[in-house]
Amino acid sequence: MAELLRAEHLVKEFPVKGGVSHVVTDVSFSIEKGETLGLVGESGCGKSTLGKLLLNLIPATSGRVWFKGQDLSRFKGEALRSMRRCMQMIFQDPYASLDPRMSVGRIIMEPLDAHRVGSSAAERAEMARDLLEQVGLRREFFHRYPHQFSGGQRQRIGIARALALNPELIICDEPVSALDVSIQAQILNLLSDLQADRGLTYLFISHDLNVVRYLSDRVIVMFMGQICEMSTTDQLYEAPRHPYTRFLLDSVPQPDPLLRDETRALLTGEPSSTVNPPKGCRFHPRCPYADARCRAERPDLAEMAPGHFCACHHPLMDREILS
Amino acid sequence: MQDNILEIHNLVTSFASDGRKDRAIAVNGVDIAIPKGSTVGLVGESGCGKSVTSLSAMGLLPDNGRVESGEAIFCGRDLLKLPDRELRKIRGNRISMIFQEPMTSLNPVIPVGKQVSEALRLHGGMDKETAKRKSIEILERVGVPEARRRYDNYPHQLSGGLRQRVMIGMAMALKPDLLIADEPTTALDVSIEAQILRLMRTLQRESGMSILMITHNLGVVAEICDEVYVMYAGEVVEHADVYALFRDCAHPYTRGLIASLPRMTPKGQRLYTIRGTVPNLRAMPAGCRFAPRCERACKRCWEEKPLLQDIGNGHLCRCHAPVGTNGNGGEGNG
Repeated sequence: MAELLRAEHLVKEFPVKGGVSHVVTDVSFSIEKGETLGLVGESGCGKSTLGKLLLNLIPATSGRVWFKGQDLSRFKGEALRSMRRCMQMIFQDPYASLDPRMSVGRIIMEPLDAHRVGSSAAERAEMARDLLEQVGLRREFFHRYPHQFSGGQRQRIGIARALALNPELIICDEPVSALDVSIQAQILNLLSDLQADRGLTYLFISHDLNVVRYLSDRVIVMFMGQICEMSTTDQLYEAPRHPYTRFLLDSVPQPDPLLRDETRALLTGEPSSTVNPPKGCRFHPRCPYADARCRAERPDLAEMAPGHFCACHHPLMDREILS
Repeated sequence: MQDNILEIHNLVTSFASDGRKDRAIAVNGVDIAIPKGSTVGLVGESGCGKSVTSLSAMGLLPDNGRVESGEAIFCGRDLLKLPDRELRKIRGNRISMIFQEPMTSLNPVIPVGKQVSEALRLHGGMDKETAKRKSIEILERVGVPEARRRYDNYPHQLSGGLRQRVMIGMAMALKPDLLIADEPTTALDVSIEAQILRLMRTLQRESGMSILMITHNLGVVAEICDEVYVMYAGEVVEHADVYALFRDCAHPYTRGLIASLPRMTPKGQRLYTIRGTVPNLRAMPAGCRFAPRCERACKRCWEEKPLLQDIGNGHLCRCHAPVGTNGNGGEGNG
């Protein structure tokens, strides 16, 4: 597979009262064309910020993003706009991300108009109607307004808008988190179908480990602004190497009462502040394996097995059970 | 009968909406029993009436809501017929509630510790000093680190997980007989959710209280509940103990919900989906409310409303053709 996007040493810091918030710290990875890369982590781990950095929606403090071999930071104005056509985003809240005063048709046509796609407004309107159909909505919905739709339908509208410019990469930021279970499955199927039909590449950001497992070819786990583990989906879920990943997987309440285990080790404590993050490994204050080295020296993201990267001084062995 | 802490019988609750004469029926004849000391799950998707059911019983409906009929028997007394003053007493002392977003239930301008101790003074009749000491104990008990220091923190200075711990502490402070938890972990990260669920279990074991767990998350149900009620479109459609429900769910809706979870489905394989959407409260199908979305619906389902029936061992199901059973006109596996 060919590399579509590469992030190199991305850093995002925000000045805050009393210091600097280290939201994303030295993150590097790549996304292959046609794959779905899952990005999981708990709130505040920097996963959404990372998504926005990739699209240059917010500027990085340092680091670079390469898209199809070109350095995005070198693009300005019109050139940046045309690069952005290839990269779109779908957001969590289908209520907040659609302008309530615009008809569905206008919402989908907006990017088409902005980029002067097609030869006439009539042609763009026709393209918008086609897009509605492709996301499973009726062409007649063109003249309706967002409030006339359910949450799942609104998310479909958001997807149609993201597809309008025929992008290669879509960054999906918690696209099904606000939806009911039965609707969530419909949207996940739609995303799979669109990927198969159009050869789309997804970065799928979510806190839901089951959803990420289902959709992703590879998965990145983030903790406090850093990648702690990155691997193919099966390896990551079946034999995680980073203690944090193991805890995270064990925390998910599974819909099967036979899997209850009240003796299971749980992660204790609360995440530390990103303003003055712990020295060494940022996970060390909550890690049962932490020793002097973990408190002093930041672990690099090292390749433990082919394609399996982990940033830990004491990675778990295969199927090791936490005690 | 004696063994239930709360029994809701045939509850009907309606809502008025702007500029309409007819009222929408949000809860349509719900029966729920919560055995003493157990955790009962009330599960369903948004708008199914699960929260309205508990708010009705607690007398906490918004102004446009009204209980049309039914009873809610708590220790021999019908909560729906109690005068406000009496009901408020029970709500403070014997039944506690926690909600999804603790920020909306905590007073933003009063330190959290003080809020706990005020609850103790108001409902427990303690003096100031005792209440403060007791509050710090409670905060420690629910896992708030550095409880003495946190006592003086305002809600916004705590994380979501800590705020929910404070809420649980406050709810537990008066040793209630029943804790109603409405999506208590929905806004929390999974690692914090796991901690909170375990905390609730431990506290329950120590105090013997009963819990009504209202949630949309089947994982949470499987993790913590002893028995489960599944609601759909304002009605209970299935009731069973938690093991029976996940092993032998009988209602096509429950089955669809469980099947549509991306659990072990391999990538590339389609997820099961329940077609369509929940019906409008003002335009309910005449027969089974799930019929328009049901793969198994036949003529009878469209015409005749199914009753909630015992399909064996107290497993209740509202369906003319329950999944996987021989009786009740079952027609094989859909």
